Amino acid sequence: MKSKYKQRFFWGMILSLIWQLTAVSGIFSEMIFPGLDQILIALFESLKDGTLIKQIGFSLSVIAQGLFLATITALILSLTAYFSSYAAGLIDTLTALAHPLPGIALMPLILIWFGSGKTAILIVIIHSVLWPLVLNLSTGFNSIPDIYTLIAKNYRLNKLEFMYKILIPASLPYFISGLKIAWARSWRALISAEMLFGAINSLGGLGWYIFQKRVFFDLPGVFAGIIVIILIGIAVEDFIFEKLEAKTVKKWGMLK
Amino acid sequence: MRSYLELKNVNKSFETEKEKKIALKDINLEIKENEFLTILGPSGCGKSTLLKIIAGFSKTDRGQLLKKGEELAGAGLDRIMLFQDFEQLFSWQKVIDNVEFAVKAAAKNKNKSLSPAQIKEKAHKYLTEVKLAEYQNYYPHQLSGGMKQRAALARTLAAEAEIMLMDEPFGSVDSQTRQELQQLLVQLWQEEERTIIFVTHDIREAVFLSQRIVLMKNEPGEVINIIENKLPYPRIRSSRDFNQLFEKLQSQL
Repeated sequence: MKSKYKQRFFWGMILSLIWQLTAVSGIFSEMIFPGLDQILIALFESLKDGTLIKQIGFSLSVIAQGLFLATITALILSLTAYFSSYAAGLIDTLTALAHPLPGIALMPLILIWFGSGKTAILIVIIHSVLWPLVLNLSTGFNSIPDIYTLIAKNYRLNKLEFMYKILIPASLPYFISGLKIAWARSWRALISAEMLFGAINSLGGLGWYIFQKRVFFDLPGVFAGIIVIILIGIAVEDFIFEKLEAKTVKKWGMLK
Repeated sequence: MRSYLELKNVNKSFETEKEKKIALKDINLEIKENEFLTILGPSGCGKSTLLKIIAGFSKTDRGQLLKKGEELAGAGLDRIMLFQDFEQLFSWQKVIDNVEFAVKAAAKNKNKSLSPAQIKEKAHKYLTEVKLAEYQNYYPHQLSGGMKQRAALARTLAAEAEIMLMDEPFGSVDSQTRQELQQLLVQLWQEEERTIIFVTHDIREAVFLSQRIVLMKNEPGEVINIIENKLPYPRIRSSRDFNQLFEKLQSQL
């Protein structure tokens, strides 16, 4: 674990050095290939004046809302599918149709139906997250050992008790890996949706921030935005999900 | 002892693509209250299927399952199953919480409300009975196979069922541990008033544990003999009587 971060730090340093040498050498114009010093200055300045913080806040709040709504919906859909074979057929069909469809493809339609702005972004996020979550949850529910359904019968659990005492905890490894996929997909969908849908009152999220910087040909600003996007992605995947796994499925021996 | 649990002409078959396999054919069996009964037979003789029918996990094709003269339908907390599979414990719960699960289910079934302290106390009592109280805060994956089965046994006891059904519960642990668990089970059965129906293919296990042994054969699954085991408890595995009974059973299987 420790050595993973050491290695990443080492290679990160090497890559930065190559970047900086290329920038200083003057092979490319400063306009299109800014040095790390310029990028870091742009990063600190927009952090200092609060513009970047506001955009980060906007993006994170939208994605949190989207993930929350999608998770609740996915839980309802997959539980319904688990308990009713009729619903299972319908939900399976819906998933088969919608899962391969990239959220971006829906954007023109969403623009016409919902306009631009937060609702539109939320819909793109929910679409990109809901179906992989439904797939993972359904697989998880259907792969719990048969013995658990016998135990539920034997101890006379009702459906609700079976759901929260056995079904959901027993399939938690699938749930968490579904959430990981959901996070990765929604983060990508969010940035592209923000670029397309633009801002309301100057708030449009990180995607909008980068897009705007490009309009003004502020390449250090573009890179500053990209760095923030990368760092948030790493932070969520490495810290939030790792913590969640350590406190649950790893502690319980369900995941090595 | 009067008849307590009764199986009348129980038949069960499974259909595969090509053929119809008769798992149980005309099983008639009377089980007495507080009796320790083993069902002994080779694999495929339908002994587990029979236990599942008694548990109410699967239905008979023909025949009846009666308790005190009344027909039983479906599974219930009066007949709790102890499985062989280590997975029966909930890996996401500590040992004590696994046992509390049964305490709560039993209380709810009897419409009794217990305080959290009472629930904990009961669970702790059963963990002490199986000599696992020190490990109450462990998660199942931190326990050895034998300890997992002790925990599962504690949970089964905690359901306070009149009838305990055991499907080769010690089949996956090493022979040393198996003997310890067998001894523990006999001791628990003598202390608590419960009826135990124990399925096994291990002749020595049947001789060590039970008062009566139901012998089964396969294809089709049928009862071939029912043998009284009058050896006094605690039984000694190396005694002459023990080995005589073992040989008698072996010759019949």
